[in-house]
Amino acid sequence: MKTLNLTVNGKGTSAAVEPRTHLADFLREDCLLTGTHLGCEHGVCGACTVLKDGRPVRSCLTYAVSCEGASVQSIEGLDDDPLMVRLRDSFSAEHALQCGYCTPGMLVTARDIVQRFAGQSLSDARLRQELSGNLCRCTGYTGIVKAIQRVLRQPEELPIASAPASTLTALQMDHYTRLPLEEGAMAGPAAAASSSDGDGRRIEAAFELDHPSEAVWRALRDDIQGTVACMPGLELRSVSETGEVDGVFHVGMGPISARIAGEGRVVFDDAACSGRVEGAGKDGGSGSRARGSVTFTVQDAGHGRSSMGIVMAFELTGALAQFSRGSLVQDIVRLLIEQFRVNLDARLRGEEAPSGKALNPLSLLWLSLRSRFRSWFGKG
Amino acid sequence: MKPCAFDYEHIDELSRACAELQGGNARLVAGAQSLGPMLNLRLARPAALLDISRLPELRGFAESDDGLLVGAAVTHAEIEDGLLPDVTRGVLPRVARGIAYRAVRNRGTIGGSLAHADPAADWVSCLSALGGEVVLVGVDGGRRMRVRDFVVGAFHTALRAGELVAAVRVPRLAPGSRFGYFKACRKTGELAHAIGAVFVDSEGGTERVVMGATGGRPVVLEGEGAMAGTGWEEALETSAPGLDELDRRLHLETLRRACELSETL
Repeated sequence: MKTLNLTVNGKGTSAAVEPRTHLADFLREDCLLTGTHLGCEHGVCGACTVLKDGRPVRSCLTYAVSCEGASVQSIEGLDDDPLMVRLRDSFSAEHALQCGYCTPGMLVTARDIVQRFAGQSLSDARLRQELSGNLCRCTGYTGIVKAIQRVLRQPEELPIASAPASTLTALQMDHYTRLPLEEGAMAGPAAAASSSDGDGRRIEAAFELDHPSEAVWRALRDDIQGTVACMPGLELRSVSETGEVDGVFHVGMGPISARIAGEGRVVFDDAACSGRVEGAGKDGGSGSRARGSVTFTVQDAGHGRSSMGIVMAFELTGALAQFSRGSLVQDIVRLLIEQFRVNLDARLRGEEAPSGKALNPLSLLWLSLRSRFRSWFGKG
Repeated sequence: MKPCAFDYEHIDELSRACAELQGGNARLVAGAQSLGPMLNLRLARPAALLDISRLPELRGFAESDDGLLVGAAVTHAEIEDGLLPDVTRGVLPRVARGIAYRAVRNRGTIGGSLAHADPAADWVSCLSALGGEVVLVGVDGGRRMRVRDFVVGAFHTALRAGELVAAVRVPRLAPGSRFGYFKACRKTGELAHAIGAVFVDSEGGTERVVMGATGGRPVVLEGEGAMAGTGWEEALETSAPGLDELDRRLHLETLRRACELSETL
């Protein structure tokens, strides 16, 4: 718990809060100011918009502890604000609300718009842009836009206080310009192609190995644990004689870290030198789900070399999927496959797989399998 | 959802932020407008947040003949409102205005956005086109990097342990130079599916186009004729392989529009 001192609706307040408590929860649960509504809790809907030091902020993306010394105004604190009185009247006159859930956030945003554009003519299109961070799911925006325009077009009624100005100072930063300019080391992307596949994504990659195809196939086929250990972040908890596996996939992408635990099945086709792993799992932390398959084929490339083709198809749902828009995952998978290639090559040369940390530019969690391997039957 | 428990600390000295970043699972935050959703959805579970938003040395600017240094904790709204000397002939305020929503711009910062390195972030593409740099400060001193080199992949930068983005360097743009910016968003204010940026300074001999929000680092083409479009498909194929046909066409069309809509500054 941290001690927090701030002003809420003009009143000095002191409280002990957990750092993870966001401002909306603090206002609602600790100050009992339930006019601040929570919709999405990740910055999309705008229902929780309040004023911090006079400026609108998302209270779900503002942790209460970050408001130390700040002045916070929720919709309740604007009861007698002359501009808010006019906006409320205008919202009533123009039928700018129906269920009212988005209204506190709408009003706080509307007040800021009127303050910033007072005396200017604002087109409906631009006003809608300014309003785009506040979602209304029942009335629609026509009435809301009309209500705000009505107030904007009558600035003579009451002088409108302008939005608070913040200050930036000129700093002494000459020494920064004398720092060395470092060139980036551009890593070349591995050959890979991806495409949408129904709801999921399909990524294909191919690479060559300086080892004969029989040796590669034997290594993959006969030592599943060793193969799995070549894939950064993949941990096999058990494997049965019939190919059922139970494992965890740790994936890291910048600040994102997911731990997808699940079950799957491994099938080998010795005649075609190909294998397929299918599985599905869940990240307990975020409630995200993933399912997918990896198909790999080893072919003779002549001169004691072999080529390996990998096709990954997967589908994500839940929070993880929201951050995996478009081709973000592609970048991760590309690096995973490249590391798999390097590690597999090292293993085939009889070397100890290099530590994941040194190799891994994405800080994927590398977990040793040696101590964790248990047989499927051993569990019973 | 509510985030997992974390510790929170207001940092009052830059050197302490660097020292604390060296060990453990702590993350720097300023506005936390990009990290916040990841925390709330429990996709990010850091042990501690180090708040650098109030550090005075990150909350200002320094103007020189060749450009402007912007403190990392300057917010998008402050740039939108013209609180910085306008060395870019209106480019920075214009791009700032298109970032998310005003309530987000009031807290989100230029340095934070670059350090977070979401490929769809506006500053990543815009500053790559303008030739912007980041100033990185760590326990062993500092260095500068071009923004286009600094972002190496999705949410992945060249930052080392114990290093942070202290400032952003924006070059002074010459009168008569040309800038265009277009982004394809499903909804106003949402993260872009594709970003096109173009910058031409004929006198200085610079011609640069950027395809951003590809999922990895921005795709940059430089040199005479970069705007013509002949090398775009090849550059996309080389630098962002694996985009499907729809994405590829979206990126090419978005850049084409950025060029078409570009204006003399």
